[in-house]
Amino acid sequence: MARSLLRTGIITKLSSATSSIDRNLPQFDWAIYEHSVKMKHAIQVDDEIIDGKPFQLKEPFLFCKVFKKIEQITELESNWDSFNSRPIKIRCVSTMVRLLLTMMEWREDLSLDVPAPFVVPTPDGGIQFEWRKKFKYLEIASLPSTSDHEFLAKERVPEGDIELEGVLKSDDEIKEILYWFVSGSPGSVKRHIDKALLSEASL
Amino acid sequence: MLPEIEEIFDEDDLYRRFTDKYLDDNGNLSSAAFQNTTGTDDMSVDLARLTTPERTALDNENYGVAMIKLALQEIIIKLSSTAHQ
Repeated sequence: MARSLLRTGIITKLSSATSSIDRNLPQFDWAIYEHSVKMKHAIQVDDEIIDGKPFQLKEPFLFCKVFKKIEQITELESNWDSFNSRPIKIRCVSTMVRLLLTMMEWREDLSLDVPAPFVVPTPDGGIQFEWRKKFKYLEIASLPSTSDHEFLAKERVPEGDIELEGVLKSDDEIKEILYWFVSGSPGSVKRHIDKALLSEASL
Repeated sequence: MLPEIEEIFDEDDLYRRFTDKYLDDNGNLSSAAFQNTTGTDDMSVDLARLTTPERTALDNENYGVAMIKLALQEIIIKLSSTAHQ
């Protein structure tokens, strides 16, 4: 006889409060930060024990896994999330495969030590890359609604959480935000915000 | 006939179903799990007191459930799995 079990993870603390019946639920990530949602039974897929020591997969191999994941994502049919989601657009696949190849080049040529991203499909038929580390979170997405890359960057600093979102229109802008994620000093995302505000004001 | 409107209180919990594609190897849940239903401005959730996590997960082991605790502004992740006796 089959029975259903439930495993409970650690709680994520959120920020602001809501209090009306006609409440607006956040449309986008519920403040999911670095390791904020940990499962008791985290899935261990690729770690192997070799000579008594855990074998950590090397980054190029992890990038290969991302290509494989993208390939799987392209096969998703309508309603793959049970909420009326759409198949992934070929343009989004091409865009993110190109970005992946470019990031691999940057790792080689510029020593930009960007880790392999976690890749997910988006319900509207796009693809999103995500990176997490101690106090930083970055996502870059290719969505059907735009030919640019959309991004969201978050950083936890002593004063609170800083969040920056917008559009990346060129490889240079992508490179800049990746440099921030890989090696930017604490709070440096704020400089990106100031720069974005200045750029907006000059238009 | 119009469906009955259920009032949501601050102490209520909500369940949000998500596909396992949104969980990374470390158990982190993607923000994409909380995006609106395609073509709408709404994110579909179940009122916890009217259902169970299993029903929200459609009794399907490929789905997990995020429990959103409105009063505490917290999310608890639940994964369903099947054990055979």
